[in-house]
Amino acid sequence: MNERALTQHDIDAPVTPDVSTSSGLISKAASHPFLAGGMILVGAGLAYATAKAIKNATEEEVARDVHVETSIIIDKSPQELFSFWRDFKNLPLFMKHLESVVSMDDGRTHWAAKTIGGLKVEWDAEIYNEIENEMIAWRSVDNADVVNAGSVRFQAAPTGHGTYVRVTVNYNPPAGSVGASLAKLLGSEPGQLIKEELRRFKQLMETGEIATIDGQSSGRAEDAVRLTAENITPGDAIEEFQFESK
Amino acid sequence: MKAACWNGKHDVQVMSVPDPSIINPRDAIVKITTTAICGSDLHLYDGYIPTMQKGDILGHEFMGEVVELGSAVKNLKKGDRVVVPFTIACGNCFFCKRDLWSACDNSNPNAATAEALYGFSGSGLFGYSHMMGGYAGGQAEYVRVPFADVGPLPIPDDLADEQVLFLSDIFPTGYMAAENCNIQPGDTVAIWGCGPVGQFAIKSAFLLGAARVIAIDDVPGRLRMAAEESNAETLNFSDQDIYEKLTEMTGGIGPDACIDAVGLEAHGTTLDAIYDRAKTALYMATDRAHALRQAIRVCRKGGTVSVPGVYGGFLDKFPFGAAFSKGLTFKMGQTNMHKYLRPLLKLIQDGKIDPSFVITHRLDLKDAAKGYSTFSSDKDGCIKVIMKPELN
Repeated sequence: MNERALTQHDIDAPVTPDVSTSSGLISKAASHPFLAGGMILVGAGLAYATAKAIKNATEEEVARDVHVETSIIIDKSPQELFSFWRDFKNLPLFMKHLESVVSMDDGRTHWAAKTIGGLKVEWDAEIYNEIENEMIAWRSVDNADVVNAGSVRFQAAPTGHGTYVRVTVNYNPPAGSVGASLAKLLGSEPGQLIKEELRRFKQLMETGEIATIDGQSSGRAEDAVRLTAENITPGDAIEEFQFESK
Repeated sequence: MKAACWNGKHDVQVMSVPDPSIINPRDAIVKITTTAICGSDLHLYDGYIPTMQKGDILGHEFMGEVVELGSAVKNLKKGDRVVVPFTIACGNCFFCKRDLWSACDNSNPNAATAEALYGFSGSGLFGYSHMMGGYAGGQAEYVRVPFADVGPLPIPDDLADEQVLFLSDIFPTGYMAAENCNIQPGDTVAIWGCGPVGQFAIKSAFLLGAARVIAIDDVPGRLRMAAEESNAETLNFSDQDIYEKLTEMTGGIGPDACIDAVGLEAHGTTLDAIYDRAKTALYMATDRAHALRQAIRVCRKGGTVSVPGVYGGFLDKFPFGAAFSKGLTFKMGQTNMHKYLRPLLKLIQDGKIDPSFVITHRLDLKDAAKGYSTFSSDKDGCIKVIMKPELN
């Protein structure tokens, strides 16, 4: 099988081999990952390879260079978590690398990552699969600055434990300045970054806020100054009491 | 505002720093009336705790008056007098809901750092390194208190600051250590370490029904406090064999429970070395765990060893065979503060204990550096230092 990183074009206009499976079927297979498994048994090896590649293309093969999987347990119901995540404009609340996610008229969303050095990294995305209260899968479309896809799964944990939340994210870091900007934003450990974002999601869902010390006081503040005998207000009482054994 | 800031090993500086402000909706700002230096603060002072940064505001034992409230705090009002527990807990997670407040999942913004060392992170702490959250501490005039709807304990007017301040850490810590011993009527409890936590463990062991408490240390002033304040029997480990002596005192059976209130000694184990080597898992420690080893050796068969801490890294030459052969139970951990605040306040109100007995020094916050150096060097005469932002 000829492996190469598939682009958005491959998904939108898949190469159809001259076998019994029609492009219509392959398109259908491409839009339903679970059906594809059955479809690929039909036809020659090339059809198999292409259909399988397209099935995988919906998630992993769309963006293959970086693949992250992580999970967390959250003491909320799958329904609560699903509906919060499904409203994608909420994502920047706990995904620090995102600036905004905005809904567009055609049901797609426009994502903007935080800018680094004035360079904007943006893309449009669509939800290509979802099962209510269980799963949401999204992927970038058109000319994304970064080809990417992701999914989140919500599964009820045993009684009293809430919900398992499992996230996968795939993306191809682009070359050039956009890639460099993204690398700066995400750091060298995208897996760790996604894990931290899930942790913030948990904090937000369980406590209503995200733990932080940003903005707190310290001796590092610009106007912080050491107090010495010279700058202590004169007249302050200093008293010391020594413990004495009975 | 004035604040005692960490500036390196043996270098505490009182600085003028910005007043804290509300950052999250569940925050409150407390104006501090009394604060204290903890024995574990000395580990910061001695430079043994990694992830400290110059300018970090120290202090995790404090109380005062609520002066500002975040929009989501409904159970407190301005002017309320509160003691604040040193562990920061959300009240919503799996652990908080099960009274395991020091294991809170949601209060450490640097959880990833603690995870690298321990597997999973516990709660954030005030004034105790960035691995524990990096929260500004309370050896200051004001402090920002996260999850203020969960932590701060309201105090009635008829109790003085000094009577209730130690609800912020050392009294619940000593109490939990004693509670973890599962004390039965007629039990003998041996306690290593007569610092303030040990003193409260001694008192708590008696409150929980112990028939005998044997206190072990090598500082005469601390042994004297244990004997005079609590009627503990005392042993000085510098001039006798503790195993021989305890065995003889208990008729050959050993104490029913043993409390290690000594913990990580500053000498011998540096946490920054542990942190670096944790990743390679090749660390060979020679922690000065004399107290813990002695406790394991002398504890009676089927007894309990209770460890209020603090331990940070790895122990070498741990007598696990002895522990197994005797079927010991180990109970340990950072104090689950919120479980104990109200029950222990009630003990104070009912006159069962006056925690102020441990105080030996009272200083103005301006003299924090002197407070640290005295506490560090004068083990005999200096047992507990409290500080006030303004001593009038």
